[in-house]
Amino acid sequence: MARIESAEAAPDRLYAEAAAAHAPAIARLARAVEADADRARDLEQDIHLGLWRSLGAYDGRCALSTWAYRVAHNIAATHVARARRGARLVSLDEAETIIATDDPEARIDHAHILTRLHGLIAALKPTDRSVILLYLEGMEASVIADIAGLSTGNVAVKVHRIKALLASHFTTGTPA
Amino acid sequence: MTDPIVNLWTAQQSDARAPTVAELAERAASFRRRLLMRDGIEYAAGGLVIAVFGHIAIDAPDWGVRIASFVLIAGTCLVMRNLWRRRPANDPAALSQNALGYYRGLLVAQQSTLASVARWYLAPFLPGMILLIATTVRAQAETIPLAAALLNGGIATAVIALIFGTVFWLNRSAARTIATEIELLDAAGDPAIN
Repeated sequence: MARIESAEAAPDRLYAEAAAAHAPAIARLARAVEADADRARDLEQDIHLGLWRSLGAYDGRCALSTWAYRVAHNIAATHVARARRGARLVSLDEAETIIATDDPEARIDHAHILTRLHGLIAALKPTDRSVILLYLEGMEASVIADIAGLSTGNVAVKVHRIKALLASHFTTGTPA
Repeated sequence: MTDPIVNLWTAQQSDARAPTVAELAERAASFRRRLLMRDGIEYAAGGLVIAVFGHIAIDAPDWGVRIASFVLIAGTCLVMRNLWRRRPANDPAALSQNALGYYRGLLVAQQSTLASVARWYLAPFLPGMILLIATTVRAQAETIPLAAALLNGGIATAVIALIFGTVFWLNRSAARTIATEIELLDAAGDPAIN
């Protein structure tokens, strides 16, 4: 009986642990892929629900954070695939073409920088979108590779492009 | 040294609150209700078609129309079964795949459904419709000239062919777009290519 209770309680405990560590990242992910505030809140709740339901199958073969980010990015990708069916998405190589270059405000106003960054993220193809979002969460290339399903070398190339893109179009001072 | 834009990014929603388990359970129940409602509407539409042709199958004096109605009912049942079998799998554990594998799986499933729409959605209705048109032409030929009956049958066939052809073409076109996306995804996943 005690073992059954323990098995039932494990997903709740794991969820509490994952949610405490990653709730802000989940909220940022939802707002990055869904511009509408109400729908973004809905997506955030759907990610939490998906994470909670998935943890019944968690077997410890990957870190809990890796599991949580995979679930979150997969639910976000499904949401984008439904919401933006038919939209033309670009790769990191083509991203330069969709960023306005003559925007002086963009270099000084943090809110403006974030708005433009959200615009860029929304226009990217799913894999590149995941990589840039995970980079912005401050993750190492090897962790990003594990979550995204790419080789570490491939992620390193993409991160190099992302850094160059951010440095040339999204330069910022130290945030407040 | 951390990229300043990473600091700017992670400063957003730093106070985000996770829902409690009770709130999640309530959301899961609401999600199940929504699914039930969606499935209910889909199968009610199928049930309506079965009811209409069931009525015709019982009431129609012409045996040809009766047989065509039964064949149409069988086709509708087959399509409903196919819809049930092709509904998205409810497997929360599948969400833990890496992002590339999960997204590719999503695209492959969509592509397969769209590319095979002629087999699982359109074809089951065809025998019943062909029988119904043929029977109607035969019945009409008893009261009007054969040429006029054949013309009516031809018009009905053309309208159905146009509808089915459009559905087939739209789905095939969407399937081809997704197939291209899968190819690009496979190429992008290869570090030697990208």
